[in-house]
Amino acid sequence: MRLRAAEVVSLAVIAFLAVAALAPFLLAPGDPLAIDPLDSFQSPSTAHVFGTDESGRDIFTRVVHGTGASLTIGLAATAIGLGLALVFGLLAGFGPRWLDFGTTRLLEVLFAFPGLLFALLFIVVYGPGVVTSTIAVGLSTAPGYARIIRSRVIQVRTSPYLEASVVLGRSARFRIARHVLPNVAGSLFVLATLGVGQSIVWASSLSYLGLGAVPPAAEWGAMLSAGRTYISSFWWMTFFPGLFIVLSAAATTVLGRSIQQRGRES
Amino acid sequence: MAGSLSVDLVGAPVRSAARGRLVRWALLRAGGVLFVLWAVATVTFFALQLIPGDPAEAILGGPGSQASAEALAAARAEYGLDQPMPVQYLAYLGRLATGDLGTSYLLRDDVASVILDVLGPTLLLAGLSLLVASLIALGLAVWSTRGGRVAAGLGSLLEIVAAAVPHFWLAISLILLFSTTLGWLPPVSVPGGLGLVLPVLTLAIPLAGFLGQVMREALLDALDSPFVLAARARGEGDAGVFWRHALRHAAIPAIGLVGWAFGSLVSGAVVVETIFARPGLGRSLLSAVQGRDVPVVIGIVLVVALAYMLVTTLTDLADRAVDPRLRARS
Repeated sequence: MRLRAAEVVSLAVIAFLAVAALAPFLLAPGDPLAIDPLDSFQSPSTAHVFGTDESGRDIFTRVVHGTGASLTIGLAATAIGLGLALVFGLLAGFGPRWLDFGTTRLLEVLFAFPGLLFALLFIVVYGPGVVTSTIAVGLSTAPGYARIIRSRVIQVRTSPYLEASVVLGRSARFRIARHVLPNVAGSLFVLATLGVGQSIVWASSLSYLGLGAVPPAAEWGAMLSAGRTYISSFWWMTFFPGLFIVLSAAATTVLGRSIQQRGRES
Repeated sequence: MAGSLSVDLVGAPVRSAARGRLVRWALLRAGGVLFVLWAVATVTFFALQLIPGDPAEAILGGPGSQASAEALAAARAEYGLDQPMPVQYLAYLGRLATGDLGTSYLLRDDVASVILDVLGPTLLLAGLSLLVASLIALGLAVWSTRGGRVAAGLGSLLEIVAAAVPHFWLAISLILLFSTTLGWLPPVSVPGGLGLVLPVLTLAIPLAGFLGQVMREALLDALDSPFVLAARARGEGDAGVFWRHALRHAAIPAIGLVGWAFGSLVSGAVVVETIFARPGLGRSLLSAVQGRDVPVVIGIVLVVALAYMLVTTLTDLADRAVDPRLRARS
């Protein structure tokens, strides 16, 4: 199996992010919250690769230490979205006709809250914060996933081997566990890889708007939100955290696409 | 005489059957739109009942306002909050049916007129962005399918990176480049064409990335398909095959994405209008969310849902116009 250049770069980025998330002190030994007022607003240099912020905190250290929180938010939101979507998809695709009808109508209604609209509604009710914004992003992505999973479940349900399983007298639970879930797992994996990047982007957008994680937490969206005030004079405060969001979203998308393509070719 | 008779015999029934199908489709569709609007209104109403705290207090300026018991009671009576919930719900639906969206808690103004004031700028921004995004996506897709291996790789990478860029970061980077460094364009949205350039680019670039990916895949798929082979066999040249047949095929999945693009534009508008200090639906929504101005949130959610339903209906019509298979089937 030959790796393309984009795939190699993406894998390297993801490996770097994984190290940053699991062992941030390996890459940035400093304290992400250490304040040094005499060293504030330093532009990028050899001492501070990404510069420093308004309290003299090293931005590189903060970006590296923020990786764990930012990726966790992205992964958790994707897991919530996919988990809900799997339940909806199985109910609609495997349940009786009326249940499929009801679920499909429900999804249609949810689709009418496009993009971040549902997330914003959720935040109006439960208030801003890391947990609510993560759940909110997960909820807004669920309908899209659910539609894809439903069609995949129906595809499996109408396949000859599932008919054979019915003829053999297998129970519905057995058929779901043995045939449907393993077949849906592939699509789930691709959706998850493609979705994590999008979730990170959305969650950080909410943080940027002041509805998610709040400063001084070393989370990428929160760092951007804090840097917004100083944007015209101290660009590095927002540029580098944003760069990490773009890198992680692009790398996971490249990986998801190539998994999808390989699956189609084989 | 015989000629016109045969036309009547063959042509008319087919045409009226087609018209009947279209009318039935339109009625079903209108019913669906009404159902979704009712459901969205209901979901929103009951979701907002879950907000902790006294709505009368929110009307009078939040918990810090120290409102007197009389003022609270007066506010409750004014907004009908002293009624039992089913009565409130029915009154709410009744008001919506007549187009009355209520009064804003914070702005003390009619919600419908608040929304009408900001609808125009957002429609202009979103419409221009969709146009620019389609043009960029089309350019990228054509270039990367016709430009050889390097163009193919570079094009798809550009599309993925463009799709991965968050709006707010793109906005900041564009401001840094074009306003702070080069001084070509204003960093906030001033009236007139120049102030629109950066907001439109910010909304268009990520969208172009998504549209481009889908269009390129559909183009490659179309170039491999039997109908392109048939067109070639009929003696159609390279350019004719590409522009007349393959591109039309590639438009179908792109049209299918328009509903999704709408969501991306609405979410993007929240960010872009805030950063560029541009009046609009997104910015009003954000300030209503921050201030928990429930009537404005409900109003904007309903307007967006209605617009979404209209867009998807138009999309279906466009699909039927582009793809003859859909007309034959339904």
